[in-house]
Amino acid sequence: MDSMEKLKQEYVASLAQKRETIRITLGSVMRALKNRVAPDWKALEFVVHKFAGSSGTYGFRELSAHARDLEDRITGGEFASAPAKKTAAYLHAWLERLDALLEGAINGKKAA
Amino acid sequence: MSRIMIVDDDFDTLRYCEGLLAPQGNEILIHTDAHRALKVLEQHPVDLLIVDIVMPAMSGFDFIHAVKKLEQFNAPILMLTGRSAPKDVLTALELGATDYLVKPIDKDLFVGKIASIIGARPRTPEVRFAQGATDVSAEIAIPARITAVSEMGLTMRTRHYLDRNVHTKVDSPLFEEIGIAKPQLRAVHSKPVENDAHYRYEVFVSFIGLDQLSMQRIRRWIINRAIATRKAG
Repeated sequence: MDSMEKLKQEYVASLAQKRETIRITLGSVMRALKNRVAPDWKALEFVVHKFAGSSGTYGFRELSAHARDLEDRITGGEFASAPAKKTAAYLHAWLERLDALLEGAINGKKAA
Repeated sequence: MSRIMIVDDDFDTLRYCEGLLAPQGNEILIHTDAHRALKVLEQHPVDLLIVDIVMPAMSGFDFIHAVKKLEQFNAPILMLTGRSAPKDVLTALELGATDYLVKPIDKDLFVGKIASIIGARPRTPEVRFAQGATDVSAEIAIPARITAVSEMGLTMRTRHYLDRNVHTKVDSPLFEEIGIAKPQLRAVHSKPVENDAHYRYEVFVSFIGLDQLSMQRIRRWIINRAIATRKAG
């Protein structure tokens, strides 16, 4: 195994931890939406921005595009004026899709 | 061997870059902490500095602003970031960045860009003449003909030599044909050409800060050209 392939395997091994970081940050945003307080969009934007960069670099282009899509929606202010319920439903669906893509990446399969 | 410093708060990205560049005989210094990297740069020169923009303690823009104030610092700077907005590319260039590459990293483009930047570094100390300060926008129009397009950049014929690492812009209907905005460009090399009545140099200019969509359109354009050429042949 060459050194880059070894790095990729180590990256795959870290995906569960990365998913947890995203889930916690996203959970905090969803709780804020539920409690009608200002969500920390910057924190979520930062986490998905980093994940979009690293996952794409290691060859997981779908994961990267999925993360980038959420980052772009946050940066573009899409959720700022949207109803909280609609935003929460979107984020929930986004996380489900992320899980499907992560499972594919971890198991070396393409997500459905 | 070149000494390359990479500053990025994402350790996965640092390891990936190190994995690509170290086997080529480069000495790689990696830093997740921009403040610490700045301290190291005060003491140790590097041949190339690669910097992320979105970092928690200090943004890449603030970092290169601080680096440019270091008296002995004269290395080229490559911004390596997930941000692809034209305003970010322009800000980086205005602050003194040499080039700009958008993540995710395409390893061939990354390695190629770095080779073109390091190869372009002046070998002799820069002579500084007295200057009168000004800040007035200007554009130079140079007649040119684009002869080839790759993911790295454009090959052009011009009447003028373009110094390495000079930033430039090219106006051409080609960009509309490809479907991309007029890109920022960096001269990589200029070679004299013979037997050309109109142009004296072949110049290669590298794209700066293209996003993934633009890269896809360039690849598609190249493929379509290859198909059209094969059909014509």
